[in-house]
Amino acid sequence: MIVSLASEVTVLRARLDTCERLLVAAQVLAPGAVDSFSPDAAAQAERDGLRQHTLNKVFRPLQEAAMADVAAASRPIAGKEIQA
Amino acid sequence: MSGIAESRAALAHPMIAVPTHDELVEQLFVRDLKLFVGQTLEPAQQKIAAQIVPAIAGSGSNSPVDDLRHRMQSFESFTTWLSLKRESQRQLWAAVEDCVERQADQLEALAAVDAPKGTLTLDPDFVAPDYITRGDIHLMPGGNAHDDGSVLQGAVMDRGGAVYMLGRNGGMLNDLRGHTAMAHLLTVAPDIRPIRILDMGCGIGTSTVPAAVCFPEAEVHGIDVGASMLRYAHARAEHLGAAVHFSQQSAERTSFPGASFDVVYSCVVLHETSPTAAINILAESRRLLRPGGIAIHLEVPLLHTLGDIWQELSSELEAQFNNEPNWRGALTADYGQLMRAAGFTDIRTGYQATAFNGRTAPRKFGEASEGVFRSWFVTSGRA
Ligand SMILES: C[S@@+](CC[C@H](N)C(=O)[O-])C[C@H]1O[C@@H](n2cnc3c(N)ncnc32)[C@H](O)[C@@H]1O
Repeated sequence: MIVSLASEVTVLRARLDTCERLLVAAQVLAPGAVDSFSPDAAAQAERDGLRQHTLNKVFRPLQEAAMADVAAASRPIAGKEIQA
Repeated sequence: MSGIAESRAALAHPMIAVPTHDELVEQLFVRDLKLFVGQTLEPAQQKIAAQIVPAIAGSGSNSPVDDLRHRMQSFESFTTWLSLKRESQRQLWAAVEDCVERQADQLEALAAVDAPKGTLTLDPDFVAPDYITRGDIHLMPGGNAHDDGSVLQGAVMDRGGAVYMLGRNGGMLNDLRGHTAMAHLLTVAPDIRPIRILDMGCGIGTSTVPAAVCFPEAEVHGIDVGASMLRYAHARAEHLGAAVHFSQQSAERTSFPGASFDVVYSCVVLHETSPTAAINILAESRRLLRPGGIAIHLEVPLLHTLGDIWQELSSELEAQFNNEPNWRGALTADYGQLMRAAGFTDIRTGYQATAFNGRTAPRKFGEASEGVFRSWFVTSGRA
């Protein structure tokens, strides 16, 4: 699972790099434009939201597992079941 | 409060390592991940603990914290939480190190300051205390005393520290602790005009520069154990226009003559030492003060809730999973008593409201914590 994810991300990165180089070659972007990009407040807020969204989505199972454990712990005899 | 933003304008001083687009997003991701671990996963564990604690408390066990830990270990989400806690911290340093190493040459060039206002004194024979070298504090690879002759360990600590504080300690300047210590000084001695000030355990000078900002006429000193950190601290202070004298020595016993400072302070140092070292540091701060001089030691909120088994376990885990050598010792100490033993008078212990600028901040000091980051525990006394 992680291997295929890593390979997918590697492909994605290479493709993005290709796009950037082509855009620079076509003089759509100045060299280094992406790296010196400075989002304004509105863009920053949206980007913060995007990051948050991805994070919540990817790690949601951990949160759900934790909530399930909370529920199990609050059932009187559940503690024993879990330990068994 | 300025958080960490992607905007270039958010850079606080020229010495801070400037991340590329990807490095910055990665650092922000790690910051968010740490928040997720602390604010989403941890509260669930607290709820689980709340279900288990009554049974343990009722059992009259001699080691309730161990018992709680043992019982919680049967929940998979408990171990997941802890491994993610540690991994997110390791990821933080990895993300910061890449960014610092890439610009090593530029940082060295920037560090070569012409006609500095302050000074830097390193001691090639200095031996760092055990608690510093035993494990990498905060998991920062190499640790605080690491030195390869460059400024890079300092640069890592600076950038990492700001991300580590999640942007809640003055953004990239990471200087609210120093300002809060100065605010406390001006709370207990509103008219003080110190001639010499010492910051013990100054790290990269985040807490030292505020003393120079609040008291521009004073001679400000900072000491710490790591040469790379101090080299960086020196360059950073110069770029911020602050005249500070940095030297490599242990706060437990310095080379300064007795009674040579008006103010001696430390910010979040004691929990990174040992119970004995903390006593030595308080005593040294007393020795260095002129009669009437003031010592201030600032720490994270104490564990007032002692007796709350979950709080105790959570603090034990923080120490263990984030390498904090004296977390429990420093947060359960009786500072009033320790300060008296060190020979201070006019002793105070309590919480100082977090200050953005020590000079102009409201002088708010009271018994109760206003919450993490909103106030800091402070003990102070007069010589
Ligand atoms: C968490 S950092 C705090 C840095 C700074 N005071 C601040 O508030 O940003 C604690 C610092 O105390 C230093 N330290 C620990 N024990 C020390 C000792 N015995 N002598 C000098 N510095 C020490 C560590 O190396 C580290 O830089």
